[in-house]
Amino acid sequence: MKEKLKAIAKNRMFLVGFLLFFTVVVVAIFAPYIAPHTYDEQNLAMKLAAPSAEYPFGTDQYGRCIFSRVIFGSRIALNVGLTAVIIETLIGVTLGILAGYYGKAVDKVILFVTDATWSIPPIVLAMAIVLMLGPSSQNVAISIAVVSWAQFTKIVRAKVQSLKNLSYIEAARIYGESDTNIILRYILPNLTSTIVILATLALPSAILSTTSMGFLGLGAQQPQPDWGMILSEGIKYIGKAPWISIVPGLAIVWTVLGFNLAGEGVKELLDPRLKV
Amino acid sequence: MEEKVLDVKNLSIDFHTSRGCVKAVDRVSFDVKRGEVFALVGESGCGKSTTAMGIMQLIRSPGIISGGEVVFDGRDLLKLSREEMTGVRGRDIGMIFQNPLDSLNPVYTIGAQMTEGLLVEKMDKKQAWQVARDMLRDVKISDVEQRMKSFPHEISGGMRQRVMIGMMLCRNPKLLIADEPTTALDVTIQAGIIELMNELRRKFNSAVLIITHDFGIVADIADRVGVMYAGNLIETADVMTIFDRPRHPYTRLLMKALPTITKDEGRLETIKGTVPNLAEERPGCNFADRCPYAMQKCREQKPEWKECEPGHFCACFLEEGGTARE
Amino acid sequence: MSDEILVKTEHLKKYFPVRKSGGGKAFVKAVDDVTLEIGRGETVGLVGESGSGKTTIAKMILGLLPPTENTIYIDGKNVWDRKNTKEIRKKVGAVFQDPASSLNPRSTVYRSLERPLLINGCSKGEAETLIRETAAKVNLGKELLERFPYELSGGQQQRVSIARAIMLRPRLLVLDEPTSALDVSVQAQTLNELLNLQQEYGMSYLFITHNLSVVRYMSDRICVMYGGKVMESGKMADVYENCVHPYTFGLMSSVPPLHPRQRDRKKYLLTGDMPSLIDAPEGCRFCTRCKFRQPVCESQEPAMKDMGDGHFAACHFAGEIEF
Repeated sequence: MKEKLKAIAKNRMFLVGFLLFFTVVVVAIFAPYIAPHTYDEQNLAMKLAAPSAEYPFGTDQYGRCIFSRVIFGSRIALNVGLTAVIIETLIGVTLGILAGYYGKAVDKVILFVTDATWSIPPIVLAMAIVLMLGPSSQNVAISIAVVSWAQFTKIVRAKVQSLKNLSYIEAARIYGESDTNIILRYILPNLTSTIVILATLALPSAILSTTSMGFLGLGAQQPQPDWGMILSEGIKYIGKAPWISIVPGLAIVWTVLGFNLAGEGVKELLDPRLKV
Repeated sequence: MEEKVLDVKNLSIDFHTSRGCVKAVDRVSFDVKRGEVFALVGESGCGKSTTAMGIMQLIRSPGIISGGEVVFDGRDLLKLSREEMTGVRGRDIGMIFQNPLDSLNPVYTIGAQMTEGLLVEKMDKKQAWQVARDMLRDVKISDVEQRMKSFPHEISGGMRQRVMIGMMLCRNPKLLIADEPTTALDVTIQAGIIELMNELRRKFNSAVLIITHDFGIVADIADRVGVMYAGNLIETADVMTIFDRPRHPYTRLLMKALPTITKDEGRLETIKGTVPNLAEERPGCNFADRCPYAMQKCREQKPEWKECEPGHFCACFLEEGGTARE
Repeated sequence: MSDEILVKTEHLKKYFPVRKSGGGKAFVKAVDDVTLEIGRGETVGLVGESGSGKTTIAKMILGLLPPTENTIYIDGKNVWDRKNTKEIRKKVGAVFQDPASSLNPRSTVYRSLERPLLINGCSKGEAETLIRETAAKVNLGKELLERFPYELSGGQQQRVSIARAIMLRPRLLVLDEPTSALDVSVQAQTLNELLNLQQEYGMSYLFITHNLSVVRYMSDRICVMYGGKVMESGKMADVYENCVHPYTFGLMSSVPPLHPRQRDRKKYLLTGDMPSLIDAPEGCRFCTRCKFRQPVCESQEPAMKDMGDGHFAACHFAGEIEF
């Protein structure tokens, strides 16, 4: 255990990433205590005001505090991102296991569906789903999940195929382990590192997709402070009040970078241990 | 007396790991003469492959050569620059590894790979292909033209190993180092490779250093044998002596552990305990904890490398008047 | 089935369908008409190179791969009859070649040993007693029970594998290259332990390997396979000293000697590679590589010739060839 902690401490990438995303998580949890105002508090007298003591990052066209909106916006970003990743992990891993373990017809069908999903441009598919279901953060999460599970399936399927032939699985069959048990007790536990790595790398991309969808107005609707939407609205005022777009933009970069680095760090930590 | 092609003197290789400094190879000395097959033998972790890598200057971090000399053809290889060593490797020293599929580039044909080295030497293209063809015939590959145009995955494991041997011999090296050359092959294919190596050794009079854990290979092809244990070379002698009159307790126990009998004739000898942790320094002999003849002295001092009879070297205190029981 | 016979199979076949490159179907005849018997308490060595079919036979006996034609009987019961599955499961155990991949890396040794017992009706308490008892019998220290496979040496891992295989006190242990990945000294220890266990529990062993010295040490009888067929079988001593099949002789002379003295033994080196099992030759499987082949070998498959005392060989000229 000590060695693992030492390894973590030495991994600068992971530490920086972890710090970045940890702040985002803290901000999201304690948003009401950190934000000086609520996200929908309008002060029309102060609209498009420059950053000041009262409004650290200025106000938007309705006099709403950008700082507060961005802080509350972290909740939406994380929420949607996490939901999307959870859904895509569940779908992707399940299908990957079934395809890899049972092979033959099951594999062919799943592979076909996976490849079909994979080949449609993600944004187009996501937009289509949201437009069908109606714009909301939930539906954005669903559409992101639908568009991204394919990579989980492919990688998990490959891993299951290689695990399936190991002697300890054969031994389990010999002493009578059922297929279900083999999947749950022998294969799944040995997939955890793979799944963790895939999930931590899927999170930043999910958050980025969330903000893209928000930018297109397909996510959380007003007055919800979706980062992408704030950014897109701010473009009209980019000359007069650039902070409206810049601040959420920076928040997006901060979050995505944090998760990316942390994810790479997790991969590095888990990979060498996999060889043990 | 044939000249020494390779003379390794007190070679030491350390590995700096998070658990400490591991003495993977500790002051190993041996030599290989022209036309001779020297087998470096031992169980896993004894340092034999690392020694071969050290000779070829292929040790990478966290490993480092911490001492000794490797005299080849009058030069100390350890003192050569990278470019000079690259020139030696492949031309004067050939190396064959365990898995030929890893050593051959899957996207080039056999012919292309065999001639690559020759063309670098500014040989004429036609000539190079002819040399390659002749070499393939020498290694008893049938259908030479077809093989030259094949890719590595299109030919069998045994043939790949023959191609490797052929590639190495193309340059007529003075020394051939083979690291577990037959382990990945079937028994009948293995025999063919061994037979081939014997023939070629006789034909080209090259010196051969073979690294193996298989005493059968040693019995089949070696002239002299060096036995390694836990980073130390503990005994060296000609092959008959090693099999008939081993001196070091480890060698003796190992010989008795070989399955040469039937179960009705008795039980195989075993060695109690396990290989020591090489990251820990111990004052005495590395084998003392498992040795049935260990004396107090054995745990306090390291035995010296001595010639106990002509051509027979051993590192054991038993040689100095201790009771050499049977 | 006589009381003395534990395992019996006759004319066993396993064909794998495969699509030919030019279109149309063909079969890889991995196991082609094999008849085999294993007596109680006996060790039968199954010897052959890769592609000989020995591992496929093991898989069929272990219930992992269904035969194409005919079946295997253990203690008189058909292995492939669903109603016998539960009973047969307790009678067979298996040990594989690679110790590292034989154990679930995510389970402790204890859990790996417990699983077969729990599935087959043992309570947790009974399991614990059995585990401790078996661990002691295979010289597996108590302190190793709570470790994970990666913390153990190759020899220790193989011991766990063996312990797990004998947990249900099987009558038959199938060992597929159990010591090939082990060092010489560890191999000696493992083989000795296997012999002790056999004496203690009266198990039969099907010992699959390509290592002839090991098979000679361990086996009472030997069965030599090539290209999915049995070439020669009989008592270990008989086959070793008086082999009659050219392949057996080729195999034995290819095996590296046990002493440098034997370096100049009469060698019969086999040239070429094993032919494809898809377009198997009409006559004898081995004739394409056989130095002694005659026209009849190419056209007619040899029947099993009885050389006396349980020694059989599938060769038209068995007993007539001077090696």
